[in-house]
Amino acid sequence: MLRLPRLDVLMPATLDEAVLALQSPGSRLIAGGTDLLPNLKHRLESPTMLVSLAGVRELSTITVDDDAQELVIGAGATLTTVEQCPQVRAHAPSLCSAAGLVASPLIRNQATLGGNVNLDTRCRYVNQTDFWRSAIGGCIKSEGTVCHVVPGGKNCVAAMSSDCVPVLISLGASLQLVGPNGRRRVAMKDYYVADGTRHTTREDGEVTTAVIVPLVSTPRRAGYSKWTVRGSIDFPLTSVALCFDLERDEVAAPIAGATVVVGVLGAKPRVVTRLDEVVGKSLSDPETAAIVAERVHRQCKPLANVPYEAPYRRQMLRVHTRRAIEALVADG
Amino acid sequence: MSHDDAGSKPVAPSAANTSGEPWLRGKHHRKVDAMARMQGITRYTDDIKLPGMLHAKIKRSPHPHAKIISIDASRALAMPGVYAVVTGKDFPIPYGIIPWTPDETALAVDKALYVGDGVAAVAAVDEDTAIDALAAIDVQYEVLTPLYDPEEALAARDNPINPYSKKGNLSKKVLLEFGDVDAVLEGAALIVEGDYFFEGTTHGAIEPHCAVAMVERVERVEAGGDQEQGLLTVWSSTQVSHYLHRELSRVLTMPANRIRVIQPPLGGAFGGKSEPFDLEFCVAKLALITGRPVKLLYTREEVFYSHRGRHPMKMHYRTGFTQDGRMLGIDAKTFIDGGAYSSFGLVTTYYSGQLLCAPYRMDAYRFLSKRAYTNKPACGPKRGHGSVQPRFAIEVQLDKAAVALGLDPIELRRRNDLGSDTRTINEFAIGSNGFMECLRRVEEASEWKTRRPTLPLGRGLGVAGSTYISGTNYPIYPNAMPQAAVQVCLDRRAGRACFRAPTISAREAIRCWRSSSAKSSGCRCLIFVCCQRTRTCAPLTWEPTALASRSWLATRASMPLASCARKSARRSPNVGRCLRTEWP
Amino acid sequence: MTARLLRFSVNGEPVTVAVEPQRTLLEVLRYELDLIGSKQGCDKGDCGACTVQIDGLPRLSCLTLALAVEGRDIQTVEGLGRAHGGCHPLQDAMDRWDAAQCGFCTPGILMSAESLLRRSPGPVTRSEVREALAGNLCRCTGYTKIIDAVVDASEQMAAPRDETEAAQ
Ligand SMILES: Cc1cc2nc3c(=O)[nH]c(=O)nc-3n(C[C@H](O)[C@H](O)[C@H](O)COP(=O)(O)OP(=O)(O)OC[C@H]3O[C@@H](n4cnc5c(N)ncnc54)[C@H](O)[C@@H]3O)c2cc1C
Ligand code: SF4
Ligand code: FES
Ligand code: FES
Repeated sequence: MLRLPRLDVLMPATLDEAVLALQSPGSRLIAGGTDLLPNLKHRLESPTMLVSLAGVRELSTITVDDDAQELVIGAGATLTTVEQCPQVRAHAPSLCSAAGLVASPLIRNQATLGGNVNLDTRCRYVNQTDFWRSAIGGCIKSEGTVCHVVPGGKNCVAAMSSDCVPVLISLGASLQLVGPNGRRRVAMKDYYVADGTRHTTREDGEVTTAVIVPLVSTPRRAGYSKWTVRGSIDFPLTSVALCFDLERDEVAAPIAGATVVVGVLGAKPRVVTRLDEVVGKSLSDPETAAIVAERVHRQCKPLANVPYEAPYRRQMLRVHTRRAIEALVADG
Repeated sequence: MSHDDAGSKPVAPSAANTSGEPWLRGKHHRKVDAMARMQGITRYTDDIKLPGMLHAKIKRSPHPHAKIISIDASRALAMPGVYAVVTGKDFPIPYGIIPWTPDETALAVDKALYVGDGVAAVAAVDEDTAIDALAAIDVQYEVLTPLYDPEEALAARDNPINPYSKKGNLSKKVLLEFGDVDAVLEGAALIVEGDYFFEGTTHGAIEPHCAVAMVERVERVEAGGDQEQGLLTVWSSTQVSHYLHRELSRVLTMPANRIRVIQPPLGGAFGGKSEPFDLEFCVAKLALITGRPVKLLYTREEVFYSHRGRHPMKMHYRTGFTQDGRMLGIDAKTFIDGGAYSSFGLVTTYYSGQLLCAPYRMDAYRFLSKRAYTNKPACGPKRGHGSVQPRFAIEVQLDKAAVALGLDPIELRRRNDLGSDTRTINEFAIGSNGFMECLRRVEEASEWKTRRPTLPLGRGLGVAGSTYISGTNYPIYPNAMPQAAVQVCLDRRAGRACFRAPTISAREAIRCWRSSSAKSSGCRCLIFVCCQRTRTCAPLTWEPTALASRSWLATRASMPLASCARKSARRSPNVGRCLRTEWP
Repeated sequence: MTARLLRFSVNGEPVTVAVEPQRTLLEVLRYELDLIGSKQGCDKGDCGACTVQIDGLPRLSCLTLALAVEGRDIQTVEGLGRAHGGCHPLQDAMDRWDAAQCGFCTPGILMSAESLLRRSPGPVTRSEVREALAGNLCRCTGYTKIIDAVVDASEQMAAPRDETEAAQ
């Protein structure tokens, strides 16, 4: 078996207890464990204590705050819950699609949204056993000093591989964090940084308590496209979230604003720029899909950090972006 | 889709769970052992737990090609809970699944040949302690230049990978010619020539390999014998207990009748568990040293290192056709990437050519196949052993010929049908032949004629033909040895005994037996399996539910055996001394 | 690490077992409680052989800390047939359809499938089965027979029960 390292496990019942427990050195937060446990089995980290959120009930609620016009999803909600929740379906359907495309139903029954937005970056040279890594001398993110993806590189470019993160950024979501110094709120587009060894601005000791999605009253079409080789279990090889605000509630209507976010490039998701050209064009105009796909292709350069050849993945980005827009149009 | 012919209909819901239904050939029956597997009752190898059992782990080389300078296990041995450490020096006798190519040792002796090659093993009180102990074994290596490409490896004569190889990195070479290929190709209206590369695959059975060993100390029987006279029992998730039995005896230098190999039910294998691996030798040796039962379970990663998957092949083919699409001859050259050891590679090298000659007729055929050692996990047999890669090359060539000659791909294949009651160019006997029927059904079911022309760019319908052999002996080298053997006896209670060698389809044997004997019901069926190779029945190696992976073996091997069993039952009522299982 | 007492329920029976904190639920089931029905094929979430139900939902026991199931209700394949005279209709259908070959993936598949059937009022569709089993790998069958069997079982279970009840 792939044994876990020897460690202690704490099961706090409240958020306050969890925050307190996290202050002891060597402690590490665990929610569903579907990311952290494989990484520990591979000896990518060596915490001495896991602080489990499994018993903290207050984190799993999903509510709509009508006053603030916000959808508030507790970080402890499982991806199955997020996918099936009627309120999420009503206000953030693209998030339901993304949550429903993560891994497999078995993992989604266990994996939390809080864990998904804090999912560690991934790389074919690092998500391996410690023995495997020892054969190549490790790398910057593990036991070594070099990068095998970018030879000569000083910075780890392991891929941000969460399915939900690009969608949440495209919807303008933010995170609620609670730590020993109180609570703060951070826009998700500012949460991630381009360093694969530590790709979020979360402080040690801080807990993500909720994901907050602003509600909109204007017409919108949003979607998510994930390409993998198998239809299940796999992490994304290309990942594109699209969000179009429309002037009327029909796909033929002119576009008022467009946000496209791409994952699985480096450690930071990329917000695609220069999309003004499609503003004013109809979403159903085939040229819209062509322009957006072209922008994505031009600005996004996948790296050899996850399986499949990077140039091929770049081509697939164009194809899947176009298809995702065509699917939005087909859905009406 | 799956309901369209009688072949895929299930057993009726009313059919009784275990007994009652008469067993008839041509009818679907419940498997004899599936329910226990589904209820979680069946004991696979990792489910075995013995009193005092230790856990073993193998330390593996992080280098693809390296000389072992020294191994120092003293720190590990000093750790509390660590019972024993073994290294390659503890069992230096080479073995090979093919008796002609013994080029593998239980653990690397002087050299590690790929990343993951075992260099030492430790037995400890539990898995965690064993893992910690591995880290405390110090191995000094001198790193050598690794070779990954078969052609480069063959060229690097001064850098032989396998210490037992006699000709640089050439593991096996086969050149066979049937008919005059050059002459036939000379006269061809069309030659299709090309290079084809198959990358290799692994079996991926869901059950990782596992082995447990136990030693029972018994009274010394012969005066002057070895001092170590225990009875060794090894449970292993192996497909072929006899091979393991043979090699354990050889490598541990223990008489075969002091070793018993038991094959518990398997969780899939597909060829990937058909030969001995480091774990079985290690648990056996560690059990002999410590006197305690020892278990070793591979991690999924170790399953990949043990590999023996389908060989990567680089194939260069030249095939000649007449103007009307008849295949005249093939000139095939193949480089086979064997990995670090021979495994079944001798057979693969023959198969890479020998299995190409059906289902199409040809006038001449030549193949030159070279298998090279490389610094990678060894390749071996995987379902359709050796036939899949050449099939890919030739079927692509047939499609190219169809385009060049303006023929429909199915029609081209029809024109080359081998027919029945005939021989292939390389002398395989063909009895009945359902290829034309197959093509007809595929053509109909796929709506080939109507759909194919209408599909858009990037979408298509393709066809390929294939065959596989029944009996694997002759294709390796023509000989008259029997392909399988079974012996059926009647005992005093008028029960029947059925002796047969391969354990692999034992379940199917039971099934066939029940079908074939259904008419003369009333007598209980006793299934006996004995070890053909060692001729000793005492170390018997079978459990009633042993089955590797796929039931296709049933049709391939057991069906003829069942009828043969009936015949011999009439003739020789002679019960041997062997373990038996009673079947109600 | 010092072992701690863990109390939970397995197939309706209460158990108390001392576990080291780093143990997974799969390790505790297989090696401490000798419930060998749940299998290990990868130990890292890829294969689904270790699927058990935790409070009725199928989950991966290899990625669950044992201590995290304190007080929870665990169902394993060993308990599946209990209410059905030892053989759940799913097991019967899988048997009839020849849907278990080596049987190593099967306990996991059964635990995923049972959860689907329990949540669906009537017969299930092939695509629902595919989705429900999307986390369970099988290397032997090619899946078709498994899907056939689960659909068949759902039909058997949805069929009017009068006959059997009358007979009893
Ligand atoms: C086979 C397999 C396939 C997978 N495929 C996908 C996929 O396709 N797409 C995808 O996105 N993911 C995939 N994953 C990864 C993972 O399952 C998900 O990302 C999941 O959402 C992680 O959630 P978790 O609760 O299990 O996280 P955990 O493993 O518990 O935690 C993950 C990380 O987040 C931190 N964390 C958890 N909760 C919080 C919190 N509330 N506040 C702050 N930090 C927190 C942890 O400390 C840890 O560093 C896959 C995993 C496996 C094993
Ligand atoms: S991107 Fe480079 S440094 Fe980062 S994990 Fe991969 S190989 Fe290591
Ligand atoms: S053993 Fe748990 S998913 Fe493979
Ligand atoms: S039956 Fe063997 S893996 Fe599914």
